[in-house]
Amino acid sequence: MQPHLKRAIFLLGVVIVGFIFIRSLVVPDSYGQYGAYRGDSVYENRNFTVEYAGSQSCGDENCHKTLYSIWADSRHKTVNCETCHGPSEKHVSNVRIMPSPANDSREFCGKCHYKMVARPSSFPQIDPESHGENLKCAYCHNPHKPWFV
Amino acid sequence: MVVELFNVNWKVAWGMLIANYFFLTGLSAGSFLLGALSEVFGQEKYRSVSKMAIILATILLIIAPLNLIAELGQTGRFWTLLTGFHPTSPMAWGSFLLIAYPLLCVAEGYFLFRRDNAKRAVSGSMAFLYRALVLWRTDLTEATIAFDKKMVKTLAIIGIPLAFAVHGYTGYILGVVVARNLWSTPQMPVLFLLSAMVSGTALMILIVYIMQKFFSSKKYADSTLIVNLGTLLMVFLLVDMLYIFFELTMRWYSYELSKDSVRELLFGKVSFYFVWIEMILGAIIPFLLVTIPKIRKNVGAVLLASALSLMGVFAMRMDFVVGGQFYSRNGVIDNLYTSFPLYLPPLTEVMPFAAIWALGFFMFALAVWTLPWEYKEGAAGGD
Ligand code: HEC
Ligand code: HEC
Ligand code: HEC
Repeated sequence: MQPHLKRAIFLLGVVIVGFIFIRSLVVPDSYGQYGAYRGDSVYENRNFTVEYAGSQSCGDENCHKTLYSIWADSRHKTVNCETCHGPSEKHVSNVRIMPSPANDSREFCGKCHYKMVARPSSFPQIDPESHGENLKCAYCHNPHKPWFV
Repeated sequence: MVVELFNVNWKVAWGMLIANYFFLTGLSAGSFLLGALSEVFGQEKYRSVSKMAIILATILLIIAPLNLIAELGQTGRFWTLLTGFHPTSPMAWGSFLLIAYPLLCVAEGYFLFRRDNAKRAVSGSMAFLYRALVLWRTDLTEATIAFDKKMVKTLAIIGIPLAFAVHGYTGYILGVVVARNLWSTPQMPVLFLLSAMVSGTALMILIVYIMQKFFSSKKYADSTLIVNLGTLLMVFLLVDMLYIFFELTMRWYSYELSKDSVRELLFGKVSFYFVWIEMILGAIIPFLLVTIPKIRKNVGAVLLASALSLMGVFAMRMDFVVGGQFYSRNGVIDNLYTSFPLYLPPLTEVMPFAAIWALGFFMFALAVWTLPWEYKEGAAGGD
């Protein structure tokens, strides 16, 4: 074999071995346990504390039953309570812990309702400049039954 | 508490940087294959571009993946592409191709330039650099020189399928996206490869002209070479246009969704870019410039044709990558992109785009400054 080829192959070998070595160090141990992802991530995700209780739990007997049925009839029925009120699992398991108040700013409703070309034209949208005289939306709209002004 | 909602206003997920990546890998594959014409297929009239071809192929493929890294939201985590591997994901294969191919280019360049580098390694202020470039082995016997030639040929042969793969896979990853009408066809890799040949040849013409005219020892551009390359450009443009013609017409006969994508290209929102910039300015006019007998021997015409077809191929990358996202399987995304430029790349894409091209120019300047890219008449290949 030509000596200069030996050099080149040696260099290539160093690169490949180096790559394999570094890769073996940085690939997480549990990689490939269940598939082409880190197996540990399954446990990590499972161990997260549950933050959301789900809209259903708000409508239990003795809780916000009326409000729930109003909401369930409204066009906001696709927007879960905790979307606006924030994660409230602690409140559901212990009613003494109050969830922080719902975000009632114009910007928050605007995240979904401000006019934007990317939204389907059939979705109710408003022009933030001219609509509602710069008052908070809940001043006129009931957030739980939007057309019940 | 979560009061922040995800706002779905990201309109074009794959923007200018991805188009640029496709463009650069195409240029690289095109240059490589052009170099292989003489190294593998013995087309002696293109021998003088083989060194330039390997320089371009290497540099273009080193800067191409930078687009992908810049485009990631989490730039610092790009290395996980190499630690995770998913056998049925074309992108996972791609990240290994993107390493293997430049390695091969560097290896080929090593053998191709070794003789000249070894000569320069003996004396001179830069001798240390050339000594490093030949890995501190300067033997120049008949045998080693013949051996280098053989290695160049072998590596070029291995490189041909690799070049096809590294660029074909970019078309492939579009082709596998079922939700996008314009993309989801098995023709995508071929379409990308054909236009890669066009752009690779066009770039080579421009580079060879500029380098020979202004930076070579003779300060004079070899016009027969340019005209020969122009003839190649003609062939590639013809094949490319024929293929697009087949693609458009056959899709027109096909099922309604497929027909829709043709309608969008020809009469829809990207029609201005597709019909005028990509096809007429970027393919038909350059094709005429390098075909009409009276003007095809004119160096100026060939240069103009090259510049136009380079622009056309870049437009093709933009039309397909960005334009493909305007239309989904369930029809045109309404309401979107009704105003003229359709898509304005955000600054977060324009800045890396400029930086990557600047880096490319810098690396190219460095390469032609150090490496003996010039072809010397009379000396056999490998010189
Ligand atoms: C679109 C956002 C939104 C949704 C969805 C929503 N809320 Fe509300 N909620 C608000 C806002 C804003 C207020 C404050 C109203 C006001 O200031 O008049 C509020 C007030 C309340 C209050 C009264 C608090 C008080 O101090 O009187 C209760 C109880 C309540 N929400 C429960 C619910 C329940 C239960 C659901 C699900 C069935 C729900 N909300 C869904 C936005 C929402
Ligand atoms: C998570 C997104 C979201 C948020 C936040 C949100 N909405 Fe809505 N809103 C909707 C959806 C979804 C509908 C139902 C649209 C439909 O039925 O087509 C709706 C419907 C409405 C309607 C009824 C429009 C009609 O034509 O009947 C009004 C009014 C309204 N929302 C007001 C508000 C107000 C006030 C707030 C702030 C307290 C708010 N929305 C916050 C998603 C949202
Ligand atoms: C001054 C009272 C007032 C305020 C404040 C107000 N709205 Fe309205 N809103 C109305 C009235 C009245 C209508 C029905 C007439 C109309 O369409 O303009 C309406 C209609 C709507 C509609 C339905 C539009 C459609 O095309 O179906 C939406 C959505 C809406 N409002 C959202 C909001 C949001 C979000 C805010 C806060 C940024 C807000 N509104 C603040 C009075 C108000």
